[in-house]
Amino acid sequence: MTSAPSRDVGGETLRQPRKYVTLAARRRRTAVVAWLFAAPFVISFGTFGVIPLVSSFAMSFTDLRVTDIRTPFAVNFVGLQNFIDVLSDSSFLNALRNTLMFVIFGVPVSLFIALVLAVMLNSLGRRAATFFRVGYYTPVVTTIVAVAVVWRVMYQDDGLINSLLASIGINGPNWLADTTTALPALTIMAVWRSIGSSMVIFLAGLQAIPMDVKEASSVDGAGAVQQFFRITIPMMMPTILLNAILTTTGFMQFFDEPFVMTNGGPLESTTSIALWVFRQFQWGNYAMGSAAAYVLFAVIAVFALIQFRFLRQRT
Amino acid sequence: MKHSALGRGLAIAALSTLAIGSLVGCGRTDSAPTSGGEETIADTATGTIEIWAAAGNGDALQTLADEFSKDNPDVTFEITEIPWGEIITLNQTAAASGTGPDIVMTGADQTATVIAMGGLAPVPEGVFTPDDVYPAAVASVTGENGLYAVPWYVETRFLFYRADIAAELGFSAPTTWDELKELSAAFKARPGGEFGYGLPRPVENPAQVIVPFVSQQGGSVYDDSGWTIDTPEFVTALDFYKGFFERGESALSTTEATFENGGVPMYTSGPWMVDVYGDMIKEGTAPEGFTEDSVGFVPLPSGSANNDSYIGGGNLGVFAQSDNRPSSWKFLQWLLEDDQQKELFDIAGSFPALVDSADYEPISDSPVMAVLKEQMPNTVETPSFPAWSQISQLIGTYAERVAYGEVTSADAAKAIQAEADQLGFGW
Repeated sequence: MTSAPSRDVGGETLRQPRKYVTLAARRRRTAVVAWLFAAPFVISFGTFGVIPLVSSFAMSFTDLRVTDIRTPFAVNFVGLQNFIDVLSDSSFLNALRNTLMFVIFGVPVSLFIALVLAVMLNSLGRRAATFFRVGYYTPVVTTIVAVAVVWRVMYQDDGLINSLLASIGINGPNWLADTTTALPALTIMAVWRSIGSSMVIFLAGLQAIPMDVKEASSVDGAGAVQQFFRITIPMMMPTILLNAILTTTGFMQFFDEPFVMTNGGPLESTTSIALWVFRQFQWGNYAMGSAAAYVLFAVIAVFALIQFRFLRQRT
Repeated sequence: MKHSALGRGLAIAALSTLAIGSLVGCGRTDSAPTSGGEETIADTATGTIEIWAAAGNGDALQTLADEFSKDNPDVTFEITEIPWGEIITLNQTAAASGTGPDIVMTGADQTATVIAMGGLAPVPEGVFTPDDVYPAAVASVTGENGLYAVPWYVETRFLFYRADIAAELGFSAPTTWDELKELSAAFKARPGGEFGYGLPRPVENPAQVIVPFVSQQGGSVYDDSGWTIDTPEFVTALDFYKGFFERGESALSTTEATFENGGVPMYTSGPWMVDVYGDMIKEGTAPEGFTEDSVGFVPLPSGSANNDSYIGGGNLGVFAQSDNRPSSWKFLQWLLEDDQQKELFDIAGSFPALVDSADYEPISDSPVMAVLKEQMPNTVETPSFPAWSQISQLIGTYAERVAYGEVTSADAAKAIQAEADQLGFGW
């Protein structure tokens, strides 16, 4: 490369006293540098992301079990059998139903509360906003295990929640022991844990709305409610879409709450897909677990697509 | 092995492209690991022996290892404690990657799974004599093709009851199922009584009481050819279990009732609880009136056949791909000698796996250990099969449905049997 022929490229390089660098070579160099910068991510994502992803996908078409762990390539190809087994397993379908209920009720509630909180915080002074933002964000950064202890006590038959209900004359259920209330109880807890991060994203979105649009609308005589629905919501659509997809994806992987609070009970009423998959891996049914994980992946993808379609039209 | 060549080719192609390794096998081999040919025991141990000790056992192993090093000066030990819950996962990783320690410790109910992974080397002759060890402990180290670990210590469960309250009510320790039911009913019916007999809730692995209930009537959940769940003994066991929940004598959900506050005046557990209560009383954190005389412990009450209890314990195996196996076997052989078994009791309070070592005086002198020793001959092992963890979860799931009155015990037994038949033993 040191004796590159002098071609007429770019003009300025020709005049340089140093060695000639062709545009192609320079591009190549830039690419190398770019890849070098990207390398830490590419390598770690490849090693811990892509390889497990692809191998678990391949795994889901085999009969790999705990006994094959030392000879993972000497397994039989079983086609779609695992997927058929998973989708015809009543306990998996039950887990799927639980997860969908959780998502359908949890995500809208979580997003709605987060948006309302964000709008309220946005209208507060900076000090107060910081204080409340920290308050609402704290559940996101606290450990579920520690939080679970408190919630379990609150949900007890004679716990805080039922004492509060009793003071207004309602005889509360034994939340976590009742098959009809256990999933809602965990949903409430998950919503409480997730509103903080959605709220922060909404806040950022709100702050990005140009003031002049709002000012113009007030000049035209729009009230606060009208402003919210005509200006804020439409301008926030990309943020809402992002939040909806993020929250749905997170909620679809519902695991922590049932794992630490109920272990899927009572009567499997809080077993989620992720917990079901976790158990398959514990029992050494790796292929089954992988197949189920990809079913979950497909469900999440479908939800994300629907949300894109639905919310894109309005942006 | 009835698979199409194309199918297998595809699977291998798919997996090979992932470049996870170059380990292309040629069909399933027998599950016995054959990584180093014949296993031998070293005359003197040399090199480094790395041990994964289950939580709480590291100090005892270190003490014994130091002593072992006196006669084997060329050996060094590296002992790491790992949590019980991580043992299976860590062994999975070790077996799959081929890198691990030299000796791994497993719980009696975990050993079969680690054997199934091919993670443990077969025990060479001369390390221990199976006939000298409690049979249930030997069963927990037996794989499809022989012995794969050394039972190091054993533990079993017995009955705890509030001796003071029982005496007030005019009862003594129950020795039969009927007496157990009577006392449980009396506990609950007494003024201020909450529960009678605290059984593990459906989510707390009830198989650990249901399997003994089956055994106490002379039944078993498996035989040579497969699982035997749909049996009259199993149905009776489930009914017996369910009864305590139906009558409100066992709590279906978490409760603040405990043994020491009298809410749960009777339950089944292991010897360590005696120390827990001892500490509680010593430190003054026990509720008023809860003294050492309150804690009664006796062997389990008998069913129609016997009073079998659940047996657990700690097993030590040699990692199949360890390069210091002969020295490791030497150490395990030494640990299973009478002296070291007795010393283990001295330093850790663990009950020896060797039947003769249990005649040790300090064991007979301790009231708790005396009960344990009385219970030991009547024990039933956790079924030692890789599929057991899944079957026991199934039993838990169905026991819950039975306890909630959703299905009858007979239907539950049939349903578990059907699913268990599909799973097989899992080797």
